[in-house]
Amino acid sequence: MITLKNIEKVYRTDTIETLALNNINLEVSKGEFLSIMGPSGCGKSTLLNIMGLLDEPTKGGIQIDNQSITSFADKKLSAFRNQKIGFIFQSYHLINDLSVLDNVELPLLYRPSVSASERRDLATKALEKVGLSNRMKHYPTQLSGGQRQRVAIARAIVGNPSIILADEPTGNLDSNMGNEIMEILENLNKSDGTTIVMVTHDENMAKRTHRLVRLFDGSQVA
Amino acid sequence: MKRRKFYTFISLFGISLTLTILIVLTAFIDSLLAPDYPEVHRNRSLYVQRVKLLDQTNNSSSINPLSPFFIKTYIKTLPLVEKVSMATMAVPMNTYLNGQKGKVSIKYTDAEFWDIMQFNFLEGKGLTLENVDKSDNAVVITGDLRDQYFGKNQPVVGKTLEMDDIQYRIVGVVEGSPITAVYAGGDIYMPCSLDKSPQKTGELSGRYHAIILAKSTNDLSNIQSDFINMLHKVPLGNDKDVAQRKLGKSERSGDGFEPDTIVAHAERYSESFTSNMIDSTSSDTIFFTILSIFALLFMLLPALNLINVNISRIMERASEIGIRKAFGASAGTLTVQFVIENVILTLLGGFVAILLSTLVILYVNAKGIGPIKTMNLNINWFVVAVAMVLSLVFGLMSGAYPAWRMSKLPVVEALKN
Ligand SMILES: Nc1ncnc2c1ncn2[C@@H]1O[C@H](COP(=O)(O)OP(=O)(O)OP(=O)(O)O)[C@@H](O)[C@H]1O
Ligand SMILES: [Mg+2]
Repeated sequence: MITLKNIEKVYRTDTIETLALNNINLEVSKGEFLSIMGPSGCGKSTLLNIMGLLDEPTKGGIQIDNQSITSFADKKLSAFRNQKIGFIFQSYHLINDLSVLDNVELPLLYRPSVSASERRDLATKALEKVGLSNRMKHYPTQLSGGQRQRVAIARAIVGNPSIILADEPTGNLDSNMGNEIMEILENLNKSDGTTIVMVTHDENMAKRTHRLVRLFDGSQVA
Repeated sequence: MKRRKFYTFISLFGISLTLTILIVLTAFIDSLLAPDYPEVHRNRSLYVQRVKLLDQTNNSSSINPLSPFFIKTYIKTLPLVEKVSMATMAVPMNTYLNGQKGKVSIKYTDAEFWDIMQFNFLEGKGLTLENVDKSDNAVVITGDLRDQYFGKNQPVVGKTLEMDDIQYRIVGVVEGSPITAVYAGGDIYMPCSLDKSPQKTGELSGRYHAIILAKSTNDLSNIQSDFINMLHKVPLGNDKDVAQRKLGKSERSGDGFEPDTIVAHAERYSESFTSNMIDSTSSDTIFFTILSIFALLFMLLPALNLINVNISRIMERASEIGIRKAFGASAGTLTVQFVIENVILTLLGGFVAILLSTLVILYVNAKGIGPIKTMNLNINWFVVAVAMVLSLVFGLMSGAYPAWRMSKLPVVEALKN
């Protein structure tokens, strides 16, 4: 499903060069639930961003669904992201000017085939799944951190993508809520066959996934 | 949320302000230049305001209005003209009017003046050829002057107006002209034959200007070239005594002024208007320059502000752009979104501006400003259209261009902001 070959990512500023990822080779198969662990700053988010086509690697190639992404033009890349990938950001990244419902509808906005009423229905269902149907008319600034995280999850799953990339989706939740979210992800993985890559700091969460990849200082150690 | 509303408001305010200033300003300029009461024939008229005589050996020159002789002999005889009028500029002076001391503007005109100007007569009529030929003590006055000295709306034609112990018969009462109609304005109009200012025979310099009415607008440029050709035939020997000034730095005292060159122009109304500003005394020129600079700054500030606010508005939304891209918006879609937002904003701004300027113009027309009692401002829709297109263009450039640049960034970069 996702193939990373010799991925290297270097951040260059005027004064320093940071090697964030060093020669990563990773193959995620269809329907797999993979977790990534590692100390802070080891490159987990960077790796996830590259998988999600939100950032370009300095070196190396990415294939998703057997298609090499490097050659894609912006328009095709956008459509690809929209159809295939649902992203859950470490810091939520909700649009504060939009209501919870509008935030969740966002990915469907860029699918011409989905009508306004369908959008509303799908977004409402996604919010029900994360237990937030009573907060649809709220704005992100009126929500707690955990609630925002759940809005971000609803947004990621609303378009029924084949891949979900989750950057610490349970990081801001208590263990009860964390468990519920984990159940949602497991459910998606089992019933819909959604491929999931999840960054986590929680060994218990990681144990529940099919496979664990450990990063250290930009390199894959296990 | 609040922040964005604030930016949007500022941006809207900027567009409205810029456009309002532009619309009102052009309405002023338009009302100065457009055919307006009573100068309805401005479009097919040429104006000769002054004649410049140069003595190049003596290094001196004179600039003066024209003499009646010059106008009668050389301008009224030009081919293609329908009519030529001559008149002095209205000069304010202190007089005893009907025993009351007052300040009034007196203008000397010929009979043709009353054909070229289309005054509204509240009563009576203009000065006739007979009035002028016989040097009648006949005057035309304005309604305001009548109201002041005879009582409101009193019939006065046939009555006498005593001015500095001389009795004049009132033959007509006209509706006053706006102060902007410089060739028409005045309080009391008298036959030019009553003008007793000294004038030598054959002298070209005097105190009159000529208005040439062409049969059609197409004739104007031909008349202008005929006018230039005519100047070559004008003898220059009779202006030895006119007031001259030295050219350049040379301090040679002018013993005899022997003009060898004549310069004069028959100008279209807009040209006469600008040449008036340029040729006026230096303090006037400074005044107009300062006024223009202020006007420009006034226009420029909101324009710059608009660009700035627009860019801030986009920057503010960098992370929104990043998020939208992450969930499948393409650079094109996003740019279009911002373009549409900007177009709506500009149209809204334009609408508000038209509303505001209409209010300003209605107010000015009703109340006048300062000494100007009657103004007739109109919105110039061509200017509105051009201004809207311009602000759309630069609204687009200052809005869509940064949006497009931002949307080209890798998503993570945009999200960082
Ligand atoms: N835009 C950037 N410019 C320079 N260096 C960067 C940039 N983004 C990330 N880095 C560096 O790359 C390394 C990896 O960052 P990354 O965000 O992937 O870490 P992480 O494993 O997700 O950490 P955390 O668990 O704290 O989220 C870090 O050392 C970070 O300083
Ligand atoms: Mg991270």
